[in-house]
Parts: sequence; structure tokens; C-alpha cells
Amino acid sequence: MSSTRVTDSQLDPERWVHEHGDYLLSNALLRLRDRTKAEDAVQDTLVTALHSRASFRGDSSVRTWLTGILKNKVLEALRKQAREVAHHDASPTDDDVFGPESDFDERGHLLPNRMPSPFSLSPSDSLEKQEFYVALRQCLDELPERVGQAFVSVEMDRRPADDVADDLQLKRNNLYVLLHRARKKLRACLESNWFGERRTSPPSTPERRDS
Amino acid sequence: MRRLLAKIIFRIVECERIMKLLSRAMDSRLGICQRLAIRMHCWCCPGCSTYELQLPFLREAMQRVDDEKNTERIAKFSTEDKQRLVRFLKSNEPPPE
Repeated sequence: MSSTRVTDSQLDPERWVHEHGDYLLSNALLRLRDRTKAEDAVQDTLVTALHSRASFRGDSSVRTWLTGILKNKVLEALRKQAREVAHHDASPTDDDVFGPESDFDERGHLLPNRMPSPFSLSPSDSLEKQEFYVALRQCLDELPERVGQAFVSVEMDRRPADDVADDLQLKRNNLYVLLHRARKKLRACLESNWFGERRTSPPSTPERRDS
Repeated sequence: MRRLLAKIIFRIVECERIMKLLSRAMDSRLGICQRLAIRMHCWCCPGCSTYELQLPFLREAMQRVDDEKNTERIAKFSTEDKQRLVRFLKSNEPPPE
């Protein structure tokens, strides 16, 4: 049945490595934030694919099929890592991974030079530029590994916060704190790495100019 | 009068709390009081109202990091790694049915 649509060469593991290996590796690296773990996930993916290739019907492309398997392998890796971390690190809270907050004064108000300023370039134009994603990925790389994993699961894969908290063995509130810190850090990183230098003076408002 | 009111509201609710709430609003539905606190604060705080607009932008950008054209060249296997992987797969190949 399937042989009418699926050719032997499509199921050749050597071709998978050469045609899709780098794509799968990049895909895994984005989510796992660690090269060795990403390579392992790709290897597991290809082995699983090898053993289940009889079930590949060619309804989707080989790449889509392999990516689907990879998704599960990435999840397995995230859960496995979370179990190991949870074992000897009971509460990986925000200050441990980020250092203490430094954007606010003692009353909890933003320090003037930490005020988010509007992005100077048009944000929607940036989304069309490939270089923007290079900058974004560099900013992602600056996040601690687990924070990056949590953020990517929620924002890129749009997985529900409850599921992500379970997978990473975090309390829901801890996850929210991690996401909050990740967003704040990414925003600031993009502001300086892509949208131009941070402003030295606080943005003025009509209210303030009046007084 | 409006200026005075704005000043009072700005002082009562700290940016730190509002930015946390803004982030949380991206992941879950907030209660009416929390939403009201955000609205009142953002009405008079340029920093937080900017932040509120930037969070959805960040989400849209993250959705596109994964696009094939933006993902393709993040990482590459070295030639040796590829050869090693191919050898490993061949040795794991199940017997033909």
C-alpha cells in the first residue's frame, strides 16, 4: 500500500541525517537550550523513526514526520532533566537563577533608566527580517537554561502553563515568576541589541512636562 | 486634578507588581481587581504601558523563531558527527520485514 507513495530513498536513514539532521538539531536546541541534550534528542528521534518507518505513509513530508517524533523526544528530555534537578534542588527560585531584582527603587517603582521605552524601529518590520531572529536567539541564549526552556515551551510552542509547570516540576507561581523575569530580560536585551541603545534619560510624558 | 489623581495611583501600585501582573496576564486570566489595577496604573505610567504593548510583540516574535527559514541554520552537525550518526543508525537498523 504505502510503497506506492513512499519511495525507498525517502526512508534511507543516511538521507535523513544529511537532509534533515541540521534542521532537527536546531529545532531541539531551541527548546532544550543545550547542545549535548539536543544531539541526543536527534539521535533518539532517528532511531525511533528507523524502527517505525513501516508506519510512515507519506501523508506528510519526511521532515514533518521526523519533527513530530522529535517533539516527543524533546518533551521526554525536559521531563527527565526536571526530575533530576528536582531531586537535588528543591526550589529553583527566581533570585537563584537571575540574581536579585535591580530595576526598581526601594518602593517598587521603576528606576528611571530601567523604564521600558518604546522600540525605536517599527516592530512589525523587524518581524520580517531574518537578522532580527538572530538577535532574538542571542538574547534567548542569555537566559538561564531552565528559564529558557520554560519560556520557549510557553511562548514558542504555546503549551498551557499548567502542562509546562508539570513537565519542569515547578509550582505554577514559580513558573509565572520565571516567565516574568524572562520577558523582562528579553525585552531589555532586544532594546539594546536590536532596537538601538538604551536611552539614558527617562521618556518624558505630557503630565510631567506640564508640572 | 487629573494630574494629582494620576500621581496618587502611580504611587500606590508599584511598577514591579504591575509588570508581574502584565506578564501573568499573558498566561492566565486575571481577576477584575488585578485588571483594574493594571488599567489605572498604565493610564499614568508610560513605562508599564509600553511594556504592555511589547509583551504581545515578543509572543509574536517567538512564534516565528520556529519558522523553517528562521530555524534552518542555528546549529549544524559536523561532518564527522553526521558520519558517526549514520554508522550508528545503520548498526541499529531493524532487519527487513
